[in-house]
Amino acid sequence: MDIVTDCEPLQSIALADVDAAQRTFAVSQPWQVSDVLLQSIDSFGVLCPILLRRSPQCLQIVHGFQRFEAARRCGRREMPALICRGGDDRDLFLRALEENRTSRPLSRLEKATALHKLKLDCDFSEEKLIHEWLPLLGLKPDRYSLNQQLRLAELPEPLKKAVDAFLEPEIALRLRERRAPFQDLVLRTTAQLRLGINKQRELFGMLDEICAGQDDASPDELWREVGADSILAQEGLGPSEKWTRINRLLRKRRYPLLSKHEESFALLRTELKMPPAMRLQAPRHFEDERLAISLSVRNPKELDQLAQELRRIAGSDPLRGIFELL
Amino acid sequence: MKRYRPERVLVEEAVSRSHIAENVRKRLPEVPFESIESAESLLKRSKRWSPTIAQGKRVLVLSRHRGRFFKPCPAGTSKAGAGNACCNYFVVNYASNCHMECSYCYLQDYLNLPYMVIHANHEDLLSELEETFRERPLESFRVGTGELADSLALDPLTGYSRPLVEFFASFSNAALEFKTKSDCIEELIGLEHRGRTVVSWSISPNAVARGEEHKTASPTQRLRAASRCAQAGYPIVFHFDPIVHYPEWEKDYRRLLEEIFDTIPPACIPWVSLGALRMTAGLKELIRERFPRSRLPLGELVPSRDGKLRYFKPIRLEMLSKMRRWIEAAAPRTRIYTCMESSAVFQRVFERPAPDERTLGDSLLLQLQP
Repeated sequence: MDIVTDCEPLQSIALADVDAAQRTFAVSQPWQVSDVLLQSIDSFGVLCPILLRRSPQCLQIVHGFQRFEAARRCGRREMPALICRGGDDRDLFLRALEENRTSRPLSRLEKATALHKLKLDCDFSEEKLIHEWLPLLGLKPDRYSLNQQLRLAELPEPLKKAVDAFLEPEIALRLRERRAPFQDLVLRTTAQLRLGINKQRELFGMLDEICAGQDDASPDELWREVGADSILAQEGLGPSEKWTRINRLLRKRRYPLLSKHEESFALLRTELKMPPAMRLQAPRHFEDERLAISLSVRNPKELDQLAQELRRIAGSDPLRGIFELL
Repeated sequence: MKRYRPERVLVEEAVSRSHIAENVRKRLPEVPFESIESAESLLKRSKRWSPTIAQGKRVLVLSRHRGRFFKPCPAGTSKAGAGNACCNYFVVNYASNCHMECSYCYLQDYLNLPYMVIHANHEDLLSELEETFRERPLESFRVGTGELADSLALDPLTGYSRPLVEFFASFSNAALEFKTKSDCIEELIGLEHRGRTVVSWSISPNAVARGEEHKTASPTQRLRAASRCAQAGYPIVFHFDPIVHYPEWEKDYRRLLEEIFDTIPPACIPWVSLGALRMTAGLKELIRERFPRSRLPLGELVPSRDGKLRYFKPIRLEMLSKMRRWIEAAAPRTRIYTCMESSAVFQRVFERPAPDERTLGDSLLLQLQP
């Protein structure tokens, strides 16, 4: 499509004449409008015209969904637009995608939506999507990656909004298979504590397994039972400290015997009354049979003092207790 | 047990006239056969088609194996297996994949070709074994076919067991082990095995088998099959692997042991192995996805030395030590060893240092001497 020959001359159109609910060509989400765009349109107006298509009842957006939404939110009644005279859905979608792809970085959900439409609306083969489109969108060109993107595009709206704001797509896809109370709890906690990917994985994994182990007990009940709700509500604690404490509580519930061992080890280690220059570490998950002891010294005299401490510790009851834990 | 019946069979041209392919053709007269150039080409096809695990298993591929069949068991030779108390085991991969659906099966997370594959060039397999056994006459070999497939579940279609049993009957420095969760032993009865083929069952209490070992023979069916093999003179072995921890595990495993020793005379059981449940993190995810009702991933599993998830060590030590004591009490002459456990765990379970792998392997083979 040639923008000069295939479009009506540039004109100002009334926002009321546009049906923005028709999202055939959209890759952005309906709620998605960047603050920068809002500020810019508020200050300078719409600088770049949107592209529309005439449909029997109204005007339909081809590209410029975000500009349209920003103009609407800024209280504008008119905006500049080009109206194309023809073009089939597939060509117009490809044009819209190209315009978006080359003018700004697409979000994860936009890439997923684009691939979904390329597959279902444009009828592109999976091979074509994998080998041509995934690299164009900066994604790994394999089937797994394509399947993940297609599943992401099919998420329900609340999960999509969460992905847009804070939730890792991988967790969103797993959450989709869980019941609403479980989804709510994970979303609430993840948002409130601003958890990164690894912590999101930990939270999801532990909660999921604890609930499944209790015949799918109510996640909220469990949350209260372990005392996580009162930690979340505590004032004066930062998100990071809150997560550390909640994680500890969940871990204790998920791995009771291991947690008990860890607590016993910590207690016995305290009883050893080691000097600060000496450190004693249990093997990871108590799997190995060896303890690691590290010393830090500045001179031979300090080493000699620590050697005497080591001899004292070697004959102590707490150390015997520690070895019994291994 | 649900017997395997593919929807179609793909035969590589190189083995289309092999004895094994002929057997399959005769025994599946109404299943369509298609000729393919090579199994490798299927790898591309499976990437395009991307079948689910269950879909892939409905296709049986008869291929010509081009690499070596005979390998040391990876538990003892892989980097991850360093430090394990091993038993000097060898494997021959006559097939890959399994139509039965054990929730914990590592093949789900391991194989890159989703189809059921049988390497139909069994003459090459036997030649390779013969060459190995003759070149190394002072060594002894316990060789299993159950690493990447069930040893017997496909035997009603392939008849693979016969040439193997007959081959091993002529070697005094080697023994063959079939490892199965099936009851497909018809082909074995009446063969001249000379005590050089061991038929072994991986076995679990009813509660575990019902919940986790789908499409397999029930423990009772496995024991009935074991009893028939014992009557046919085969040494019988049991692998308690994976041993699963759940509230009633002690009662259930004790009852299972009673049933075993009530059915099979301990003198017919040269050895048993013990292995606690283990899985990779990837497999754990897969189990949650494919078998959402499985309780196995919910156990107190923590990463161990090789990165695999295992029960927290005190749990493992308790299970393995108790199993060892119960088995020793019922069958004092049967040798017991642990599989995929460290030498340190072996020492704690058996209250003696782990022997080196050749000593352990030889001591198991010696159990087969008449």
